[in-house]
Amino acid sequence: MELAKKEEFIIEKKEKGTIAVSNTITVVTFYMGDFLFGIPADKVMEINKEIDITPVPLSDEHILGIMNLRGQIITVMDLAKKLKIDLRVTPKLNLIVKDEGEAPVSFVIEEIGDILEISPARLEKPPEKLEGIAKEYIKNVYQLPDKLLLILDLEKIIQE
Amino acid sequence: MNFDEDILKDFLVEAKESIANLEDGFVELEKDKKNAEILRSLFRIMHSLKGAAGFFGFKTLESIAHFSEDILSKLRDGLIEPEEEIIDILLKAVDYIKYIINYIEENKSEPVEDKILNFLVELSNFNEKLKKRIKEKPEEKKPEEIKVEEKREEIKEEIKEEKEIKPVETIKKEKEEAVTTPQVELVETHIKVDVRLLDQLMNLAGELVLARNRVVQLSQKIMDEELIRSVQVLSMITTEMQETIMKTRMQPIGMVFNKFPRIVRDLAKVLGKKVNLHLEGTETELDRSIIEAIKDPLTHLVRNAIDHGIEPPEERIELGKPPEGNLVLRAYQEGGQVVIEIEDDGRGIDIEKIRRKAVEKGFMTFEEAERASEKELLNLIFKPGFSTAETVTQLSGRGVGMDVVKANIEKLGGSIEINTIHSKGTTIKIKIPLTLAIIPALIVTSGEYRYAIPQVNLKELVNVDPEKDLLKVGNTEFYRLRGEIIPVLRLSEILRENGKTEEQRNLVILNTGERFIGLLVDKIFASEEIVVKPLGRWFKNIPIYSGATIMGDGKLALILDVIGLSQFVGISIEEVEKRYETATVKIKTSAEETVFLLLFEVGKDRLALPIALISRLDKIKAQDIQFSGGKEIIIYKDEVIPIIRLENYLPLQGISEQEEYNVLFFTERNKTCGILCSKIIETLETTLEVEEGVYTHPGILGHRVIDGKTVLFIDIYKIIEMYDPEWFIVRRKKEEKVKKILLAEDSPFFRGMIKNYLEGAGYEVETVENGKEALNKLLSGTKFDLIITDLEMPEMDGFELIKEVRSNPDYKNLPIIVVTSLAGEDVRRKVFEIGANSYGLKLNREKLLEEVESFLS
Repeated sequence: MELAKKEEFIIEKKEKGTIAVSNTITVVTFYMGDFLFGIPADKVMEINKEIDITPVPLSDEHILGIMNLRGQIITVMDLAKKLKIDLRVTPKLNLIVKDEGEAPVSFVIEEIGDILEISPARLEKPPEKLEGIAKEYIKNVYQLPDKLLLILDLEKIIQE
Repeated sequence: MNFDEDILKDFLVEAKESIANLEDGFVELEKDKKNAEILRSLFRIMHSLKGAAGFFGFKTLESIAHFSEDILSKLRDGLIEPEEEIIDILLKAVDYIKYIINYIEENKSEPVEDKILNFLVELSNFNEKLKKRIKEKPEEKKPEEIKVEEKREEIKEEIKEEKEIKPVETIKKEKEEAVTTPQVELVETHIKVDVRLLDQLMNLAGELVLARNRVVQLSQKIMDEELIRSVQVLSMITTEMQETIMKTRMQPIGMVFNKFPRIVRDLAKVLGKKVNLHLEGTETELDRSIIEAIKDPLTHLVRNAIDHGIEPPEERIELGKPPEGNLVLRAYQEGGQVVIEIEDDGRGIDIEKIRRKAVEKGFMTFEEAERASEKELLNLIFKPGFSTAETVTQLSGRGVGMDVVKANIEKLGGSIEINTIHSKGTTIKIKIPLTLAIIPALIVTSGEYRYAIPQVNLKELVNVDPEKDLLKVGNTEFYRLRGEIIPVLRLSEILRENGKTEEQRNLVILNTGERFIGLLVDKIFASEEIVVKPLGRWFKNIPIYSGATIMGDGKLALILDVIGLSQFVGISIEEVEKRYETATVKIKTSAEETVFLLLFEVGKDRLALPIALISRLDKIKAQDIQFSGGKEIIIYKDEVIPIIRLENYLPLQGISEQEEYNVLFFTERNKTCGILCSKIIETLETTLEVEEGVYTHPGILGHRVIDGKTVLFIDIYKIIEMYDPEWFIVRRKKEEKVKKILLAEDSPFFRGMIKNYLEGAGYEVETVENGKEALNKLLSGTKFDLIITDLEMPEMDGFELIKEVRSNPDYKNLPIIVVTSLAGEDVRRKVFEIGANSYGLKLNREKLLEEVESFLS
């Protein structure tokens, strides 16, 4: 239910965006460990809870397995492992993102955050000092009043 | 994607279509040189290509199209004849156009390369040459046509803006000819759809089927008549929809076939052959993924047919064949499969040549090759490293052989066979399934997950006891299936599943096309039709999966790739066979370890004895047993036979009084004794594995639990010796020195028994459990006068041992006797070949002692 609300929220924001300032990006944010991450909203397909994941033996460590998304078989990635973050809990949420020309990919994440409008002009390069995470997958950072938002380099995460 | 890119994409799609049409058109033209319709259509295609290229500013492409169009216009207007030279350069132009289009698709710009510019010059010069030629023959030109030429020059300038303008004469001609050859305009019945969209539709349809199934189940619970009726309608529509969507992925095989006129033409030309290609059944439909996949195998087969099959024209004429060879590509449906035939009327395959080659290349022995049927020999063509081409030509012998073709076709779940008649021709028949998307598969489990094995790879299912039925060579396990050695893989090990593994008894025998492998799995479920779905890019380098599927309950199962699995076989069959010399020897020796046992009871104790040791079984009455000279005897067939009661020598409770007894007769060197027992239980064929240690009493070799009862395996020789120490003693001259024998035997039963009777005969015997130990013993310096060895043993078998011994100069002349429990001519031959001195049966004590004596005296 909460998700549905958020979807409406996106639409609203988008409409506003197009009317007023066309120069913002909508990002979906989520938490993993102490980090707050962001992914452009147009890349996000949906968020699902506790879907059956079938492991694929012999696959890479950061691949959790495959799942059934309405008849499509999609790969589930352990994002924490890929980003080399130490997590105390096992993430349960599936954040399903588009992979251009291929089947979507699911990232398991800990907690979903707000949907934000950010101004691209204020995007910065990731700082040198960013510990407890594989920095190469962070495309940009965005300073929020209380936290640093890390914008993920989706292409790199998916392609590598 | 911006506006320009969108149009460019449209242009590329159209250009590719144009190229295909051009290629087809030119080949058609060669067959029917006067066909003005084809010429006009070629001209039109080239013309619009030129226009579009100009629009995007692709100068080189535009120029090539321009000159080609110019040449085509001369052809169309009948100013020149479509000679081979002209068609050749036009086809070359099409090739360059193709190249440029591909380059544009990748780089969004035109290539700048010398070879293209060179060709452009060549094309332009050629065009000039044609122009000159036309001018040199003015008598052939009608004034009207010259006008056309001039007009065309003008029009060329306008063409960029006004593409629709055509020379007046052409239009007129078109109208005239329309009466005789009506031009069929294609009505727009087809639209282009993105393939991914179709795939997605397929997925959704599959999902719908699952949802439907759940609704059907629910409605059966609720039992509401109206609900059931509407669910039935839903069910029907769903099925129909699924089938229809499946059909959207079907494409006519003509998509592939139509590439061949060009290939055949080029190839025939290079090879100096003449080939008529006939295409039949081009409308036959196949799933698009299959269409893609058969392209390469088919090309290879067609090349083979032209290169090796069809003879050069002179040779054909000599043979009384028409100079032009015929090649037929034929497709039709048969059952749930599509059959594709490649038929030529060339020289056929020379079976005798294959036979010779089979021997030369070591694929068969001379005898095997002599015996081999035509089919067996033809199948050799599909073996890696076997090629009949005397010289490797550039075209057919490019390293990829028929083995690859076969593998590719089998990957599609298809099969291939060859029929050939010498000097008449060859037909290759390929059968492939209609669709790859839905295949029957066997569902198995490993741990808590299910896996699907395509039915095409399945040979049979066997229930095995891994402890007993599997043998280990190196780190690889093997199973013997009717004489064939099959490497066995454990699915749980391949998948590296940790934790508890229940005992796996289900062996799935798989056919990789090359060989059989066994896969040991936890459970086997029924066979199901599954919808094959691809896995993501993260799994591309894992060879054991070919996809995944959604099961009826919505859960996923990975589809196993049998060829990928076979890579996990650590040791090759060849290596195993080498160890055992040949597969046949292996089979014979492997069987030696089972013998027929006789189970019988003495009182309450159950005992066993190899049946071969017993000469006769009979019943006697209690009153027939007599006491004579302090011994129990019976008169049996006029002979006095001493009776042995086992309880006197073994720790048994003994027989209570019975009216009738069973007697086992034991005969050696004309001396017979009888063993009294209360009951014969049964005979059974089994191995002679026994456990030692619990019963260490002399006369007992060991025990084993059979059918829930402890059975004692007795040493009959020892017991008879206990009964009468003189029984076996053959009076020999006392030797000064006791001869020493090394006995290598892994079965404790035989080891004990043979040792006993050898020692009984006065020899010193040292026993070892395998060839390796025997060799160590020899090398440690102990002097032996004779070796007796079993054939099949762990670590190092008898064959290996004999070879090792014979290769050591110190033991070159040491006599070796091979003992086995089953006679086999090829085993016999083999052991003598590698240097054994004698060969005999284990259970034939008398014969063995004779042999030993003959070597040692």
